Amino acid sequence: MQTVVPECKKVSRQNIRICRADLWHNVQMRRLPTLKVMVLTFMPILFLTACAQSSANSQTEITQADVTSLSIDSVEKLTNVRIVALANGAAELIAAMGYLDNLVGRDIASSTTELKDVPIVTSGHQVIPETIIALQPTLVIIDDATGPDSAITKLESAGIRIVKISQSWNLTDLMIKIDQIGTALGAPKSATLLRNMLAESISGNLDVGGPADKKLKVAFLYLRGTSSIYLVGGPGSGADYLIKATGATDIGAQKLDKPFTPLTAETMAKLNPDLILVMIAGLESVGGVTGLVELPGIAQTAAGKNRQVVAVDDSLLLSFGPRTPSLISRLAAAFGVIAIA
Amino acid sequence: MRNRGTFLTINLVFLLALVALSLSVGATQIDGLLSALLHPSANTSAAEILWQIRIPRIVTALIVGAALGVAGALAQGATNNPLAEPAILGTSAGAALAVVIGVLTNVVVIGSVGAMAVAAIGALLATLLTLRFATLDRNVSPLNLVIIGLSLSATISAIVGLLTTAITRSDARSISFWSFGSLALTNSSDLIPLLIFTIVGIALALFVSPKLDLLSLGDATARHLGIDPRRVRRVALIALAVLIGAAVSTVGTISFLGLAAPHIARLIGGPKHRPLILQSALLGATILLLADTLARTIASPNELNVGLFTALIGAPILALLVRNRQSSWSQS
Amino acid sequence: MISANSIVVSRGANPIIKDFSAEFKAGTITVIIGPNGCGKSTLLAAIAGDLPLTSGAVSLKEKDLASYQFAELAKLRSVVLQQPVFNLAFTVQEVLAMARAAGSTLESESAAITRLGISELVDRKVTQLSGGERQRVAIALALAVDAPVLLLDEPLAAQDVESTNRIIELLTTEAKAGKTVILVAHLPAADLNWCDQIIQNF
Repeated sequence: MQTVVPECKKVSRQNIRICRADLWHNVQMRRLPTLKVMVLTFMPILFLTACAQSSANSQTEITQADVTSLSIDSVEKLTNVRIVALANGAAELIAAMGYLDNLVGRDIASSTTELKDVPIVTSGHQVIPETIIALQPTLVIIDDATGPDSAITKLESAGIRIVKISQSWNLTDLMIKIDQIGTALGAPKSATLLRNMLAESISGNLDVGGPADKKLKVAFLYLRGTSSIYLVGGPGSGADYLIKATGATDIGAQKLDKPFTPLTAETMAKLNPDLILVMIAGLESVGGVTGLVELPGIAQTAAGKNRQVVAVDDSLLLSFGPRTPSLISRLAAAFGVIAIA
Repeated sequence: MRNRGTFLTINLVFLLALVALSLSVGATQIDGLLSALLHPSANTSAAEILWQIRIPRIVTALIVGAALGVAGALAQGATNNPLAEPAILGTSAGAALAVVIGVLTNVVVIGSVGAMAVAAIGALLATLLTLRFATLDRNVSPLNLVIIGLSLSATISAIVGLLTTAITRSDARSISFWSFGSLALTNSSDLIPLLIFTIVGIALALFVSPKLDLLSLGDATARHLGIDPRRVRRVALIALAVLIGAAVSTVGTISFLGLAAPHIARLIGGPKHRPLILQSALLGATILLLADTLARTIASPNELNVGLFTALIGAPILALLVRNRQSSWSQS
Repeated sequence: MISANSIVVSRGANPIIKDFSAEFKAGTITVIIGPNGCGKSTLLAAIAGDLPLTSGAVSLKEKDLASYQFAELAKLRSVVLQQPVFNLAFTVQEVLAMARAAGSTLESESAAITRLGISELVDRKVTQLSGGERQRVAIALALAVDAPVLLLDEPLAAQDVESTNRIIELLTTEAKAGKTVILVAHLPAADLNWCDQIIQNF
C-alpha cells in the first residue's frame, strides 16, 4: 500500500498553508513537526479573523489555481492502454488515479492545468469522431451527456471500445463513478485507493461547527444575468453538500424543498443568509457584488447588508472530483468558519 | 442567352472535383487515401475515417442539398412567388416541430424513417396552414404569402426553441445539436431512407413540372387551359413536404439554400420547370457540399455552422447574377 | 352552340347580372359593350364558366357548362383575359407550347403565331413585351387550341390601328370557319358592323 505524502500548498490571499487531505485531521502531520507548529501558530489568527468576519466587506474568490487535486500513485500499471475521456470529470479522475500518460484525448470541459497537454477532441460539446479515431484509442469513456448520438455510433462502428459511466452529482455517486472508471481501465485497485483517500479526506470535515443555531447560514445562488435566470439552491443543488461539509448551514437546503427555486424577495427574506455563495461567471453576469445586492431581497439579508459574498470558479463548484476536498477546505477558510474536531 | 447545357456540364465537373477534395480533407490528416478508398474493410484508421465518417457525410450533403434545391424550386413554382422557400412558407418550421414533438413523446428517433415521415406530415400541415391564412377570395397575393409564412415560421420556430430547451432527457440530447443544422448527425443507416424519400420527392416534382409551367400564366388561364391549379399545388406541396421532411429530420434546418439554388438555376437556365428541377438539385448538392466541407475544415477540428456557409456562398452568387442578368420574374 | 338561360350572378347580396338570357350560334360574332363597371367582364366570365351562378345555367353543346371537367372544357372553349398574366420569363414560343395541355399542336401554334403577327417575337421573353404584344400572345395561345368557342375580354384595348384590324379580320375568319366568337369591347356601336350580335344594357 502506498503511503501518502501530504503536500502543503500555499494559498495566495490569506497566507494560510492548506494541507491536502484534511485541515484538521492530518495524520501524517506527526512526521512533520514544523508543519504542525506553523498550523498551530496560525490557528489563533484564524480564530480572530473568524470573529471579525461580520464587520468586513469581504468578497472572496476561489479560482482553479486555489485548489489542488488529490492524486495517488497508481497501483496497476497499464500497458498499451490509450484512453479518450469524454465523460464529465473523467479525465480529471483518470489523471488523479495516476494514468495521465495513458490519456490521449479529453473533452473541452476538462480543463485543469495538468491536462493541458492532452488534446481536446470535441468541438464545443460536440464529439468529433474523426479526431478520436485518428488517435487510435483502446477505450473511450462517455456518459449520458456525451453527444451527438451519431458520433458515438460512428465510433462504435469503427470498432472502438466504449464504456458509459454514470454522472455524479454528490459524493456517493462520485465514489461509484471512480469504481466504474477503475473497472473500465482494468485498474480497480487504483480506483479503490483513490476512493478511500477521497472519503478519508472529506470525512473529517463533516459534523463540525457549533450548535445548529450558531452556525453560519450560507445560501447558494445560481445566477445567469444574461438569460435573466436567478435561482436559489435548495436540497440537492450540489452546493448543499459542499456547504454542509465546511461546517456551515445551507439555509436554502434547510428551508426550501426543491433543488432550485426562483429568486424572490420573500424567499430571501425567509432565508436571510449570513453569506452568499455564487459562481464567478454568474456573479459577473449580474454586475458583481453591486449588481447582486440589487436583486430582489438581497439587500435586506445579512449577507447583502455586509456584502458577504464568496465566488467560486464555475467549473470547480459543482463538479465533484478529486479537487473537492481541497475546495471544501478553501470554502471553509473563506467562510471563516472555525471547526474544532 | 440560355446556356443550360454548358452550365450543367460545368456544375457536374465542379461537383466531382469537390467530392474528391472533400474526401481528402477533414478534422485529421489521413495517410493512404487511395488505398483506403480501394480497401473499405481494411483495419486502418484511414479506412475507418473515410468510410464511416467522410463518405457518409459527403453523400448526405449531396442528397440533402439536392432535396433542398428542388424543394425551393417547388415552393417558388407552386406559389408563383420568387421569395418563396421552405423556410419562409413555414414548411421547414413545421417539419422541425413535428420532429421535436416526436422525439419528446418518444415516438421517433432523429434520423429514422419514422422521423422523416412525421416531419413530412408536419411540413405539409404547416404549409397548408400558411396557404390557408394567406388566401383571400381564392387569391393568394405574393405579399400576403411572405408575411403570413414568415409569421407562422417564426411562431413555430419559437415553439420549437422552447421545447428543445425543455428536453432534459439525456437520450434526447441530440436534439440540441440538431436544432442548429448540422450534417454531423447522420449515420450510414440513415442514408438509404434519406435517398428514397429524396428520389420520391424529386420524381413527383418532375412529374408535376409541366403543370407548374402553366401555373405561371395565372390560375385563371391555367384553368382555361385545362389544369386544376389546386390539384397541381397539392402534388407540388406533397413533394415539397416529402423532401423537406427527409432533409430537416436528419440534418435540421439549413436556410437560404432553398432560395438561392433555384434562383441561380433559373437565372442561368430559364424558368422551364423540368430542367429547373434537375439543375436546382445539382446546384443545391454542390453548394451544400462546398459549405459543409468548409464548415468542417476551416476551423478544424472545430465544426462551424453549415448554415453560415450556405448563406456566405449562395448570397453573393445570387446578388451578382441578379445584377448582371435580368430577373426571370415579371417586372410587375 | 352556347347559350345563357336566365343567369343571375351576384356578389354577396348584390346581383350584378340579373336574369340574362342569350344565344350564341356557331359561326357568329357577338360583341358585349357598355360603360365601365356595368359588368361586361363579369358576364363574359360567367359565360366562360369561371363564376358560380346564383341561378340559371349556361349550356354548351346542349350540356350544362358546370358539368364539364376542366380538361374537357379547355378543348371546347378558349378564354383570353383582359390582363394576361405572365409570371415567369418564358419565351413566346414556350408560352405557346403550353397550349399543348388543351390539345394544341405544333402546327396550330405556329399558325396562331403567324396570324397574330408575332413571328419576330418568338424568342423574346414574354415578360419583356409591351402590353399590346402580350395581349396578342394571349390571343395566339387561345387560338392555338382551336376550340369551337372563343371568348375574349377587351382584346383590342392595347392595340394600334394595324393590329386592331388584324385581330378583327382574324375573328371574322374564325367565325366564318364555324367558331362561336364572343368578345367584350369598348367601341361605340357604330363601329361594329362586322359582328352579328351586339349585347348592351343587360
